[in-house]
Amino acid sequence: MLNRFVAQNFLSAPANASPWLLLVCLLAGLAGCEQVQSDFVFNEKTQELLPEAEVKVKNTLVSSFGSPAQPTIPAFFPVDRGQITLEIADFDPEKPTELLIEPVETDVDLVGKKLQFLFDPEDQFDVTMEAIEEELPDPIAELDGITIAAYDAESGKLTLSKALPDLELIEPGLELAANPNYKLHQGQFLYEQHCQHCHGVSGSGDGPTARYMEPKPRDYRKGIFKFTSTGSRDHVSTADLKHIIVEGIPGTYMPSFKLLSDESLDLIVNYVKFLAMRGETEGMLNVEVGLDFNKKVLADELEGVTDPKEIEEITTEFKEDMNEFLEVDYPEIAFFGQLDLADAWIEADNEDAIVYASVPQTDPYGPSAADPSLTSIENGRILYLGKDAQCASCHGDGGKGDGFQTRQLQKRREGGDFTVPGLHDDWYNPLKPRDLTSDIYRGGRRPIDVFRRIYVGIKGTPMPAFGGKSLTDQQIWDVVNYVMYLPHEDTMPIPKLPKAEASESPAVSSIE
Amino acid sequence: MKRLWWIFFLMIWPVLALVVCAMTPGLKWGFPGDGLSDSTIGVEIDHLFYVILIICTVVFIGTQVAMGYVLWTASSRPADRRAWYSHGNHKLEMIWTVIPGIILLFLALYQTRTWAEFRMNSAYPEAAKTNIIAEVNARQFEWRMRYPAPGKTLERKPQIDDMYQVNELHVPAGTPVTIQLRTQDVQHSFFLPTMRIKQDAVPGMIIPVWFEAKEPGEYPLVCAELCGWGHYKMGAIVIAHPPAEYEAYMKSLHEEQFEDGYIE
Repeated sequence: MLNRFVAQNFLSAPANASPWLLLVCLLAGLAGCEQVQSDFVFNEKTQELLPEAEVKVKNTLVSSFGSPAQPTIPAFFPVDRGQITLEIADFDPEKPTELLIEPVETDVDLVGKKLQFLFDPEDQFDVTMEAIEEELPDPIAELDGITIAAYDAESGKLTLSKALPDLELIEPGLELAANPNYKLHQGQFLYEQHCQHCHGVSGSGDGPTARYMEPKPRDYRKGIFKFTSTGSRDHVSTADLKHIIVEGIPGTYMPSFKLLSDESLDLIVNYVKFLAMRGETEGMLNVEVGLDFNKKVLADELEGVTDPKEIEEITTEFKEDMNEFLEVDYPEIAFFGQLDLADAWIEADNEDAIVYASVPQTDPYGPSAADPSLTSIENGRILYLGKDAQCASCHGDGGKGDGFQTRQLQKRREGGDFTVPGLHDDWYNPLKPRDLTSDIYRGGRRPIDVFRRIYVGIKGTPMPAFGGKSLTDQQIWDVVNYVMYLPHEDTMPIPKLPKAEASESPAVSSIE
Repeated sequence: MKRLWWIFFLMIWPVLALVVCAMTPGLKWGFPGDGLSDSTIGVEIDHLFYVILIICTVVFIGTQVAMGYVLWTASSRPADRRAWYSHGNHKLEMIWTVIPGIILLFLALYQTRTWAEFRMNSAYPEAAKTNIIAEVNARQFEWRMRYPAPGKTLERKPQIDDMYQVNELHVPAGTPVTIQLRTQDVQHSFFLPTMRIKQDAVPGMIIPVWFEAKEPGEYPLVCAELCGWGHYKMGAIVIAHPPAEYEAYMKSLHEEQFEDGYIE
């Protein structure tokens, strides 16, 4: 009865209303189908800058790194951003829309592709600065948005979509990049599919699924990655990042992506590096600019000042200083800061950056290389509990990850205590020292992996680098052997050297 | 109008069914790959599948013919004739209860040997009882394997010289092997589609699963129990080596696992 009533009312609605109703239903159904345009977010420190400085920093980031839909990166960063490399054979300034290039045969059609000029970064910077000084339009900026209108493969003649500015740097031999950054674009697509829901659009570790996770997904923006084979002050190497993606991190939510093709893995690693570089650039600019020109500095200067006239004076002076800084110093700081960052990443992929043990691993059950009167495991235990390494202060006497430091209030780097007792990582997440009896090794379980964890430390965490400082390589091997023995402590007694062999050792005989 | 139903049930519907049936062998009956099982027990499981398929086909055709007959004869009767209600007819009820009963009983007995061979330790092939090669740990959202060191047997408790691997399970081909299936978190299911092997991983339980890869090769391993948002990506591969290569591979894995990275 009720149904019929409802149905009648529905049908007896004004006849001209039903198409509208249908339309509304259709539109309502379509809502949520639209393509969501995601964008990089800026970190909180950028928002704390004074508005003029904030705009400047944001502009630098956008012009250097683009957006998720159009990722770009300056060519001096060591990222395989993807491009078709061309070389100028001849350029006649009389014909500014034409370029002769060394004829190349590519599978890809060049027509319609973006064209970038790969000047020496420092020369390019000089040209821009000169233009700013003479208050002329920046000729480099005029090169933006140039595309290839036509290409004749036989003669190698490129016709451009707009005229080139009169620039000495455009000369035979100069490299060009057609269709630049296409690999970043492909990487972004894969990152969106596989990584973004945890690591976030900007690589800030705040994707929608991140909140359910403990430990938190990595925030790439500091450029710090925990498990590296490179030295304690070095960046992460490309191979390290790939290793983590392929093997996953046991004991965390990071799964293995082993079944992805090698090509896809490389593209993802590339894009992760890109996000880290973008984040680091932002962090670097925040430090450089924010040290003097953030809202807090101005507020501090105005503290206690009540006279409105004085307030205005201080504010004006402050802003004048800032504008001068932004005009004169900022471009240089931004440019050379990025060059330095790029160099640090290049260094990390250098063969020399990789840490290897200077001596082979000591047999865990044999005499320790550091103290031949004990087995390696025994000596490792002494070092573990001892003062030099102080492993037990965090990891606990039994290796359960319950050392006394986990119950103490720790200091924040910029002063003040954490509110929660226990250790924290550089992202201020509470952090438990590893339970060494769990038999789970996040950064890999090969002896060399564990060696590197101790030698270079775990970056971004309170786990320090012991290598070359507090422990010798021989001692580190003893600690490695002891740590890897810990999960089996209850089924295996600590191996000791046989008596006869031990008595030969002078250290022991002197005790006897 | 009356004949229309007859045409539908006796002409269109069976014709459609026959067309689909004619197509399915070409589609490998919906099985992955070449439609043949890659494991020995899978062959028996496929056989059971085909037996059931044949029984279903016979029953389907039989019931369709019966229904067509009824519709045909009923449509030619005068409309004013009184209908005969069969409801409660003891003889008929007996027939259509006992016949399916016999079929089910036949199936139950017929598959017992295969079922026991797959599930019951006492009916395992001899090699499967001794050839326990790895522990497979399912977790959200990957497969982590633990192998005993070459020449050793798998212990329930991890040993200091055990070897570990993620999303790759290496087995020797041509011999039955057993894995111990566990899960570290929720329920998962160890599913080798091309081998017709499927076993749930249940928290707190260690469940042995045996299979024999007939040929060396790579076979997919997927999770077949909705285990969370990443269920779809919880895939791995089973790599079956020729027995001699398998030994060599395990040795190389052991070397790799205990690599000290020392370069002279």
